[in-house]
Amino acid sequence: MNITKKSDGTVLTVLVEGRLDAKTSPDFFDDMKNSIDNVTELILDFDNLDYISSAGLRSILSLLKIMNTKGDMKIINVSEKVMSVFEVTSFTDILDISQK
Amino acid sequence: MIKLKQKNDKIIRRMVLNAAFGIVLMEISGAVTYIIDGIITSRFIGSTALSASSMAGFCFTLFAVISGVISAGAQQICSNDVGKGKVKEVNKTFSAVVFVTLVLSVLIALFGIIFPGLVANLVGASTSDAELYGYARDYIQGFFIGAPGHIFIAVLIPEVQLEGKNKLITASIAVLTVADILGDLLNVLVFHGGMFGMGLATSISYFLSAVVLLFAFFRKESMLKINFKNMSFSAMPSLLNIGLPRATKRIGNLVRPLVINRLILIAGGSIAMAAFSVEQNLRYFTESVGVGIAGAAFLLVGMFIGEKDGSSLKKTNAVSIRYIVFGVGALAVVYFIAAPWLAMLYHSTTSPSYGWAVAVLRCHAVSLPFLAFNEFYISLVQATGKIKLAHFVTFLNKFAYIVALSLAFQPLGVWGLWLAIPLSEILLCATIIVVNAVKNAKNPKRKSPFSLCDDVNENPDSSVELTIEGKDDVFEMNRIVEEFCQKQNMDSKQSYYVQLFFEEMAMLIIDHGFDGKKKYSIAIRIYKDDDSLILRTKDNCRAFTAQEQKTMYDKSASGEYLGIRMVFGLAKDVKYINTMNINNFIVTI
Repeated sequence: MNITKKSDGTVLTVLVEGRLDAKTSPDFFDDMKNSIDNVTELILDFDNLDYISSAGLRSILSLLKIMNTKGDMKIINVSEKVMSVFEVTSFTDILDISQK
Repeated sequence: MIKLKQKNDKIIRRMVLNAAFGIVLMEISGAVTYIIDGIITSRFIGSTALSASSMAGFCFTLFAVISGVISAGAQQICSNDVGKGKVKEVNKTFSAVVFVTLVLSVLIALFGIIFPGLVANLVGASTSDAELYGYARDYIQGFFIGAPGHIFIAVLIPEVQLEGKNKLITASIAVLTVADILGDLLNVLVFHGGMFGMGLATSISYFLSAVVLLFAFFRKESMLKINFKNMSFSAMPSLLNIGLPRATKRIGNLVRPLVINRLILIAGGSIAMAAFSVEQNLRYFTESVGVGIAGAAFLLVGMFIGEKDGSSLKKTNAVSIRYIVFGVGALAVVYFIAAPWLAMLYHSTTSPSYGWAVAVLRCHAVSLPFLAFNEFYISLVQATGKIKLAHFVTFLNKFAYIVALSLAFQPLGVWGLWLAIPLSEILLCATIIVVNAVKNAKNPKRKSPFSLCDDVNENPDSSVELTIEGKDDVFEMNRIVEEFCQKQNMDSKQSYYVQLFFEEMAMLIIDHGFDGKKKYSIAIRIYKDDDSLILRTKDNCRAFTAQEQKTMYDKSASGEYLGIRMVFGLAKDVKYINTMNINNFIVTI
């Protein structure tokens, strides 16, 4: 998994590439937690995300809980196969998600 | 097939041992009650009464023939359907089997209760010897009351094993033994019920034992349930066909002594016969382990054929043969060494039969590993549907080879007859290996000259097998799964789902069952079945409770079981079965 961050004031855009699975999700969450202190809007760009599992979803949920106390979070450029995972787990009801 | 160097075949070994355990207990219990009844009858009623109960032993064989056919057929059909995940079909068949067993056993019981004299005549007791006839008739009448109990025990034990309730089997056998001893003693010391009482005591003990086994099917979590309102008799013709070789075996056991006993009497008279009776009496004990392993293979092979799991089938065969060589081999060595002391239980060292008894026990000891292999092979061909071959090999095993060799060695006297015992088993074992090797050379479905059955994987390149013992293995194996998906030219979405389901199922099982108390193992297999892709997991962790299963299926449940809910939402079908203490998930992608 690779993370590329782009900061614009209090808006942080994170390009997540590769896999968000049981192995990579803990590192992803730790990295993000340390990066969102002064962030009021977090955008996760999943354009090059090939794979997400329930471990990845839990780390996103944990991030959402933090961002809900201070701002917004959205996910963009989600592929069809990853979108199907969000839909079946009803994450589309609690997250702002847009498809590619 | 993509194969990794397997860390272990722990799950298969556990399944073989679990399955063998129940069958060994069942075999030993039959011997125990037989010996107990004989000793108490002889000591308290008399030797004529003992002769009468021995003659009536034919009835025990009759029950064994009927229960053997039903049990073998039901076991194979039910384990096959369990392997396919068809739980509803299994229950319909199982309920029908219970119904048929009930009706048949009650009819048999009524026949023996109403016509005990006729049965006494059939087993050889005639009114010309009034005392013998009276004892036989009374014992038969009491014994036949227990026909449903006798027959049900043999039919239910394999199904209780599928439920993974070996402790119930142990409890059932304990109840049988204790009730039989108590009943016999109460009969002779308190009630003075004579031979009718002896038969009745045995019957009551079998009923109680069967009732204990029935508890396995009335729990909330039972996979197998009895429901007479929802039965299917469609599998009955198959059941009969599959089970008939067991009848051949029992009939062989019945007919063989007619020839062998005559030869022994000619060669060595009653002294040799008395020695041979020791081997006959101990036979059930000493052969029980080999019979147990063969029975376990029968149960498991049926299930793996249903799963189309050629790899587990091969492992079962390998594990079974390993247990035969080392386990039965060790037992044979102990038996060989202990023969003099075992013979002393029956004859004093000064008795003319003692020396012959030691000799025949040692010959029997040598035969044990080969006998176990032959029984295993017969179970294997029976479970793979080769019924005519099963009949033929059973006939060779239980009658043809032993009788032919006994006749051929007759000029050597009693020693010739004793040597025929191990030589007949060794000869059959060699026949099986050589004939298989010759056939295998011409059969493309068999990869090795020593293969004993066809490879059920029609296309081994379209499957992958993995063993997981921790989270690190999941991370490592996911890469293998990804490579497998690429080799199968799957589209991006299907490949994603396969990897996702693999990770989610493995992590679910680890989080649910790896409690740190002992080492656990998950076997995962991904394979093509017709047009579908199947992901199948097997693990030896604790079973999912009914509440946990309900939570998994509940879409409103949040957080917990997020991964399995993803699988349920995206897969075509997900089934869960716990059988023989092994969790099975079958995911159709």
